[in-house]
Amino acid sequence: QTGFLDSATSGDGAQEDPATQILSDTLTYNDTSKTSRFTGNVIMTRGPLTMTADQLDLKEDDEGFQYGTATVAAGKRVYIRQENPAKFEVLVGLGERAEYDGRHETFDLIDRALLVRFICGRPFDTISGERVRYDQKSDTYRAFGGPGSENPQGRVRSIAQPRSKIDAAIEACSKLQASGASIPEVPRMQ
Amino acid sequence: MKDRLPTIASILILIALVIGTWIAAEYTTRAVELDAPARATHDPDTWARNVTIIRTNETGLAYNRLEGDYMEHFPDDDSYEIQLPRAFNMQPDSPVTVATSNTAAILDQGDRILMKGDAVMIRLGDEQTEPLNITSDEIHLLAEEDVAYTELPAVAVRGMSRLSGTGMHYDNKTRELNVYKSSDLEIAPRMTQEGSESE
Repeated sequence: QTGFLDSATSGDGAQEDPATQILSDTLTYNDTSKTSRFTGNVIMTRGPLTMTADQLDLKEDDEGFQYGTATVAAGKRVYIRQENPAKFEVLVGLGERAEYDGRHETFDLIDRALLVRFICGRPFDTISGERVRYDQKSDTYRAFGGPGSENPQGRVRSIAQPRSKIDAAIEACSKLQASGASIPEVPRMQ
Repeated sequence: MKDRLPTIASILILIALVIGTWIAAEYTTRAVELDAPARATHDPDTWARNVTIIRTNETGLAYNRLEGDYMEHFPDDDSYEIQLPRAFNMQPDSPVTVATSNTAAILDQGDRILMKGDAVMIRLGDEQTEPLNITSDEIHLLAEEDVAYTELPAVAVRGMSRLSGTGMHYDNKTRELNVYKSSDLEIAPRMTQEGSESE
């Protein structure tokens, strides 16, 4: 069963895939090559993950897996946000380019790549380098150095808060929620 | 001077005759309508029931078939209006497209068919590709170029995916679909691996 662009499971019996919605100003889709180009205010939403960019090129392989490359105008960065309400956690990623691999469900942020984990609206873990890869399935991320990194000598830079602090923040947030107050929002990063 | 008088008089008479004839001819042509002008009002001059119009290319191959329950021709703009039309486009090397709507107008000497009112265009599928279905209030069909387009809001459905936007252009030769404004693509999730095997 195929569609314009079918999101496919990775074949290990995982449950149903989330729907993917892509909003943009214009779209060009070629049925023969199964490629799509979305341009202008592109917003891609896939389950809890949202990505915004200026242009998104998607290609579908024979098995229906999608591969996408998102780019932005000079000076801006592609913005990725993944929410985990159960842990009051929001992951925010930035990069001059983003590559999405539907088969492995990974997102690569490339050049001036930065990934921040917010809990209860406050930044806890930060990782930056030339390339940061976020694995949606295992909820893990890895960073690679290189000339595209903002850090000195193109190195990777990582700040990780102790587990206890994170648990404390989650505890505080659940109390906040229990009291009916609103959860602090994550600051918009650019 | 006296002997020139007859000459001058005859010349004057001749001139008068020529002018008089010209006036008479002008009056006659204006009085009698040789070729009645085309009617200014948009009234049909021809109508037919259960019509089929087939267009062929230079090799005689039929590439467009337009059927309708009732058709009228309007001389003022040389257009046709068809009730309950069904338009089939069968260009070589391209999948067949079928379009239906409440009414259709044949314009531009037949080059453009404007499907109006619940217009639907379906590009048939094949082993690799799902059918593509575009719906809008109006869809223009360019039979020769094998193109369908609309400037109005439209929805395209293909397999489990749904695409909406304002202004769509589908070229059946290149198989390219363009959305010009507010594109909104919804890609449905695929079932679990077991689910998809049981289908």
